[in-house]
Amino acid sequence: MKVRETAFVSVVAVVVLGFIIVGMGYLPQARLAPLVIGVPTLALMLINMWALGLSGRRSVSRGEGTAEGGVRPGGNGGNDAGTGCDEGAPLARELSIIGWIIGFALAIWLIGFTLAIPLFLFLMARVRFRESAAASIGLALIVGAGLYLAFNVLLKVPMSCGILL
Amino acid sequence: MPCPPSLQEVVSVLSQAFHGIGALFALQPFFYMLLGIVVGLAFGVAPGLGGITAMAILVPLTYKLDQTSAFALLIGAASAVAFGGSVSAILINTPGTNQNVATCLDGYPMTRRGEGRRAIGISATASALGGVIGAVVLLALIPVMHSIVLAFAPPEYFMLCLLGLTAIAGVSGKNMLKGLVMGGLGMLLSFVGYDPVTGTLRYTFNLLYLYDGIDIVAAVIGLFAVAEMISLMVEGQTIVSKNVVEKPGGLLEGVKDVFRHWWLFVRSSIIGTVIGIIPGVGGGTANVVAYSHAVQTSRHPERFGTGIPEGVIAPESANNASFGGALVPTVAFGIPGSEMCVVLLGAFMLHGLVPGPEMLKEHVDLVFQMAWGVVFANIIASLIGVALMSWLVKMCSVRVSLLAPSVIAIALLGAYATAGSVGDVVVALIFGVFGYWMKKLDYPRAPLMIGLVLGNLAEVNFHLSMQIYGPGFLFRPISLVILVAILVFAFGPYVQRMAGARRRASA
Repeated sequence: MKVRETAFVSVVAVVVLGFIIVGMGYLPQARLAPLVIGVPTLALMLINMWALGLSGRRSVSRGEGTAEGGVRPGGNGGNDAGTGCDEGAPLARELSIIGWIIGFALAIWLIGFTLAIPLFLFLMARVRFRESAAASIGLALIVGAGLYLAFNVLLKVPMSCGILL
Repeated sequence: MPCPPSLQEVVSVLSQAFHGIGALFALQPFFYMLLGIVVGLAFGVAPGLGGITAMAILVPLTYKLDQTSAFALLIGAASAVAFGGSVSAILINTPGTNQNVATCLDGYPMTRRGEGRRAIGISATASALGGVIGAVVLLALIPVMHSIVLAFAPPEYFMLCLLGLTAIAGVSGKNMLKGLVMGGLGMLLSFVGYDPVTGTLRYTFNLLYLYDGIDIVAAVIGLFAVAEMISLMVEGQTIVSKNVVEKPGGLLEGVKDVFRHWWLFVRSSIIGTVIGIIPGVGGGTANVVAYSHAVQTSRHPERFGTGIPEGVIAPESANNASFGGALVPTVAFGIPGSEMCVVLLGAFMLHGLVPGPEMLKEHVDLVFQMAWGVVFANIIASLIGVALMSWLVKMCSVRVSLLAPSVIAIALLGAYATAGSVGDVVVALIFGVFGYWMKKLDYPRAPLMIGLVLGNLAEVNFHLSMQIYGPGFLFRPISLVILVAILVFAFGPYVQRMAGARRRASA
């Protein structure tokens, strides 16, 4: 977990540093607020990283850190009810789910909401979660049609058609 | 010095006030008010649409209606939106409108604990009564509103923003350092887009989408709804686990909660009304500031975010009260008190009404009808919401394999619907993934949201204050009062803690 947190903190630190460096090139009034906020935020970020390193060394010296690879000792794959976020969830599962959502966003861009929503719902239910074909088709049709009716017909929000259609 | 009104004038005003109720409950205006409420609830529940979209769609439909029916329709919709938005905030962690952002923080944890009915009961009661308070203030303050509105200038707005930002410390709980970092990051992200002072483009990297900054609703949808669904799918759980039994009598318990915390409810409603009165600042700011206030004044601030009634009471009473407040400058000066009131001003023009002294004199009966409309629309919207509650709560026990993809589809469509831009879908996605990692690594998400909402507002008003008043802006009377409040809220808890430690040590 410490490796992941270090990676997360490093990404945030780079983003904050980017805000400061890019902000230096603006007019004095335009860069005032970004620098006033950015510099202390970066300082706090570095303190946080230092604290993270310190706690990492302590846990190593106590013989902890076996959950590093994302598998919690004695865990059941994240199916504990009411335990909050499963810190030991395998990275592969997380990446797979995030990949599905990125795929959905890409589908929206390519073929628009009207087709992308039922397609995403069907594939996610059938392929990712192994629901029955009937449940997957039912979900895709009911939610897809419901959203189309609610947004496009009743609320008059025109849905994006995608760049391919 | 204005003269006190004569007895005859008082009687005349009271008779017009009561006439307003009668006119509103005539068959046609009442029907249109109900229609407006249903539309408002639908737009509120659907993430990303919000009141301004509902109003914008309804205004052309009022063209052929008489004034009473037209404004019954619009006021009904505007009043119901905030409660509708709280339902999706509580049940699926997706704020229906920007007025319900803070409701997610405690409403959704309550749902996950099997207290969804209770949370909706709280929201319904706080929304209905908060709306009534806003409307009563609207009725009472119109004669003295002019001087109050003029007393608020950029220094006071800036100080109000700082007051909201001090809440970052409160909502960070034990993770103060992480909370401050995320608050800072949120403020930095709020600077993306046109610099309001120099007109310089900042951090846009030549992307046209970023010229107007990061869309807050899309960001919040990602940070909370998408992140939560990723988390549920990774865990393989439903929103409400099968092991958690929905507690019986939750609705009544929710109603009682508001009366148990009546003083917080009153304070939050007043905060909402005052923020509504300040031009251009509506329920979107009111709910965050009221939530922050609840955290800052609580004896147990660390429990906020874990699903406590106070965390729902404060934002839901404030956002509904803010609409009544927002109507004051709209009607009295033609200055929109909130985004929805901008559309309402357009409707005034469509119906040949000129806001200001003339409207208060010539069409005061319509103003009273609007105020009563706010009162009854809030109550009716809450009743309709409660009636549909059983259906809505059952949704939370649906299998994650069916629920999570559906919510993600609704969330991304909601993000898109805000401005009709695929860029908002990308923003929701990026914030969703980022929010998931924040949750997983125990970084509080509320400070990021507070920074994002208030950062740019604080910057604009700081520069305006410096240009108009110089550094002395801090010493304007209202600024000073707010500054004292900031210092009390920022350092009060530490002083209390130190005093407590000393007492324990001496004992």
